[in-house]
Amino acid sequence: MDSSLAKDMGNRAWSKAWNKTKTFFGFPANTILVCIGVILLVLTLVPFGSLILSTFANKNPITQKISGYSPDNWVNTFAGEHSNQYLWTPLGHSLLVAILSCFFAILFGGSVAYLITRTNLRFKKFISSVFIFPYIMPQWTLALFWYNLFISTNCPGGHIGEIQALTGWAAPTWLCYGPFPIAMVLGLHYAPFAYILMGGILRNMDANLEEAATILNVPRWKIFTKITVPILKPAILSTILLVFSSAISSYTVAATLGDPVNYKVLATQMETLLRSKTVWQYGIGNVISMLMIAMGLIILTFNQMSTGSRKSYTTVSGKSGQISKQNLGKVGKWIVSCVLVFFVVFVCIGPMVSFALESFLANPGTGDFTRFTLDSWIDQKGTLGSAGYKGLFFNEEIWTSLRGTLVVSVICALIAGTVGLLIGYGVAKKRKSKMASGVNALAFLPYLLPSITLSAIFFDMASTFSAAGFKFLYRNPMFLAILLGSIKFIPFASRSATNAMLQLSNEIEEAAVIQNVPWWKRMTRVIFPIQKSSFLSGYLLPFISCMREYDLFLFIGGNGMLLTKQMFLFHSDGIYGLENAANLLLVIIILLVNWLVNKITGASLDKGIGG
Amino acid sequence: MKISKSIRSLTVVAFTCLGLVGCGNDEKSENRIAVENAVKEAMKLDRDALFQKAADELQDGTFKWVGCSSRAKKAADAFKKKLVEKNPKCENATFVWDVLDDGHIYTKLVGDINAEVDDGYDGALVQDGYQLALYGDQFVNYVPKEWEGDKSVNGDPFALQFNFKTWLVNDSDGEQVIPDNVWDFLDTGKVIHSMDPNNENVNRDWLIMLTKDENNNMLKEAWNALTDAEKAAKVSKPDDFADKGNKKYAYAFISGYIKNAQFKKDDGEAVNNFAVKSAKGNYAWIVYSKMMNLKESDEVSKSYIVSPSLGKDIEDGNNAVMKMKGFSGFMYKHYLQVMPTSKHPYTTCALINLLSTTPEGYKGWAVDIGDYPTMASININRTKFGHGTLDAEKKYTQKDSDPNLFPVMNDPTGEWWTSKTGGRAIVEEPSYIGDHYDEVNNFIVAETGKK
Repeated sequence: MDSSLAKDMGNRAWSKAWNKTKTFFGFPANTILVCIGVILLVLTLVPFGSLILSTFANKNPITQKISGYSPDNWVNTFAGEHSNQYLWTPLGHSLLVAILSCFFAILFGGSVAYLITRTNLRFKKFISSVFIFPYIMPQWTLALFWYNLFISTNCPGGHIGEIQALTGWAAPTWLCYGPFPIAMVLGLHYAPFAYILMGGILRNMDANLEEAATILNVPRWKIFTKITVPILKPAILSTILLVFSSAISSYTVAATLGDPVNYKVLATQMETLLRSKTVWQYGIGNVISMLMIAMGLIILTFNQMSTGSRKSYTTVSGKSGQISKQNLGKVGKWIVSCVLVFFVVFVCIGPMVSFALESFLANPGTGDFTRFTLDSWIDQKGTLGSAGYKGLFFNEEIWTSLRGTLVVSVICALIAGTVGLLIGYGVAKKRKSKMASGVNALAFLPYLLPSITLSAIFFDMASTFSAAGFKFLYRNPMFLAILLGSIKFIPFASRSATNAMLQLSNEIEEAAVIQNVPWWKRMTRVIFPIQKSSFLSGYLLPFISCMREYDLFLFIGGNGMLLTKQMFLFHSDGIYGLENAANLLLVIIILLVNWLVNKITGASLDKGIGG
Repeated sequence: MKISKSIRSLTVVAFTCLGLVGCGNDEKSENRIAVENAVKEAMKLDRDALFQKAADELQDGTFKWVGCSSRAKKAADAFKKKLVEKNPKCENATFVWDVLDDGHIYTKLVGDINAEVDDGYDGALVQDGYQLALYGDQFVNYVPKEWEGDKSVNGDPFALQFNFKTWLVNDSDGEQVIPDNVWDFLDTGKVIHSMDPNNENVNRDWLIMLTKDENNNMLKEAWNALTDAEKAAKVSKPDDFADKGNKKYAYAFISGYIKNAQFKKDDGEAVNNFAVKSAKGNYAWIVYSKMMNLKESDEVSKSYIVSPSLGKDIEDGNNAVMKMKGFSGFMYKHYLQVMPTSKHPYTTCALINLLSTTPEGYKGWAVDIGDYPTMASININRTKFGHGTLDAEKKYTQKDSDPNLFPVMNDPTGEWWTSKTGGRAIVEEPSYIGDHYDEVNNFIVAETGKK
């Protein structure tokens, strides 16, 4: 072949490839998916790979050094002497708790979302604002609320709790300890997920389909099951995915309401094993972590299959924004409203009042309401606990660590929210492509990795890099915390953004494309304003989660870096009053931020639903 | 295909990177050598000279301390004042006092050492002799010149103090039968509020120590003192563990304790659930000092709590007589160590010196019952700590000459608790725990599974 011809062919091939690449990256969705995909691949696969490696490693639980590899950990887990104790029994418990939690979350969250968006209920604003409180509060505060309420002299090692003190009725053990209270508390904690996700769709839903069915004389129950529920399907599946994965990996609730009667779930069993000092127990702990992730992946696959196969669930088309509201009746609306108000006040405000009250008790945590003190708030002499802490208002450690928490949470929320939004956009635009489903799955992976395991892996990585001479990560725990937090909380934002984007008809953006509006302008002027509430949830959810996170930052930085770490210090020193006061401060700040976002942008977690 | 290939390559790269985690440098680092030399010199210096060195070393730098107890912070003001006296620049120094439980503190410290950081923690207060026996050689040991303790027992690793975990009974109605034999805690249907052995390893260490011959014999003696009817009431009997040979008493006790225990995340939670009026008849196995957190009220009171070892009406800890067959509790140690990655070895030694050899340094622990320094002279007398008065708001003021409100608080000395003629408390022995850890731990795991 003539050399100039070969050169020409080479040039042409190069030019063809270049043009193909240019065309490919000419679509913003492709650029977004490729860039984020590569970053996520590195940041999520490294810890994931590390965990897989650990399941085959003889790893020292204290020094984290590996002395060799073998399948022993897997054999011990599935066919070892302690398989029943460590795996099968807790697995059964976890599945039961997770399924019940999903049921309760959808029942509570879905019902409230429906009543708020589709009926003429009273007190909507109040109910809508208050219903998200359980999610804002750390899980253990809800568990403690439940425990203080139902503990009784009927329970092993029990004493008179609030219900027994008020009514004389001693609750049975199953109401205070075991699967029912664990699932109930988790269901209440995650009900806002269902409320936010399902409420967003119900609010934006086009009423034409339902109206058409009504005109055709279709019974109301049939309209609900054949039209409303299918439209809600992505939200229900997303809720199940989030709640199931969260409930499976939830530790504090099961530890509070399960451990006293030795009701072990996978998360508490894993915690126990990962705390052990023997190589074989630690190895089983790692395998159980992996199994928990695998369970999450299975759910994720179902979700992918479901959202991937559907033709369209567009609910925002730009054609009709009309919603038909069901009339509860003159008397009915008041009865339903009052019952609901009582329910949300009890379940959502009750725990807040309870732990606010605890900060004023001389003996917090004992259920003793006979002696009060303001020490946890105003002590100036440093008389709290054996280390001599001052009350919240004069406690430097609290204010310094709060600053740290705010910095980490705000930056994490900005990063996770923006990345999530871009993922949502990319995935919706390239819904059919494998790349989109790959990035979507990758973005969800960190959610499945147990927080404490992620913390240990990142600490380990920073330590390894430091030993190799790259000390930046080790010396800057704040940076490491932000990196870790951003990765961990991307799934919240990406789920919410993907759902919002999937509802959005392509024709809305296409109209702007025809007008030659640049991509960034289409995003900021067209897409974002339409689905503002869902997108802002994508910023607020990581913010809230990061504010109250402890396990994720366990090995990162000292106690003074974050408020939750400082609270752990108070807890370990038995200063429960100060811990409760700090917790209340945290919740108030989260509510304030939510309120501020609402005032400034007109959107918030609850507002997005239409309260 | 291509994608799977690239994922495979990427995974290999990632695994290789992660594999580096296992690599370490066996040679002593320059920093470690410098710290060891400084500590060697510090051991020869008296407190005054040591503080001069420390103040000149720290100046306006940042000193970082971590411990499984936050009480070292109580000495912060005294520490800073002494440093400023020697060098006014220390006025601008920053002090960090962090806390991690014994389940994570070694991981963090060993991680720091492996990472060869030069700005990690300067020193640490650690517990759990088992982990210290395994990894303590990575830390640097300092013994203050002024320290008057027993070097052969508490010198290496250097122990600040003993902490005491003990048996307690809720007798809020004054009508409960107080156990007079340690096996009584294993009566069928009884609940022992206790901290989960998985949360802090010291809660496992005492179970392992039970299998030591002298402790097993003590349990045997106590068992033989029971009547047949009393023996029949126990949830666990030595004959059920005949395969353990002579040690069947220890193993039966471990099994029974696990059956009756209601495990809590920490001792604070355990005492909160146990000390309530309506929890009468409940038992507890908790750190003695945790009772100090309880504030007096109608619902919660230290007067409801009885130490079965001291009896219901103990007036003065000096006159304590052991009222129970068996052992009164478990003594475990707090150790003070210098980190080889420390930037301020002299300052760390100065703090350890202050905490372990002066009353002002030890005051964080001295205010409580249940902590006993290895240099006994720096402690305060707490033998009448339950004598005092309550004001209208039920605030307690202690005074030896006042009435005996809380007999359980009349704390005998650490020597009494551990003596053979006194409390016969079991004392932590890191080497024994290290040697028998796996064997007893496997048994604990199996028994927990049957719970």
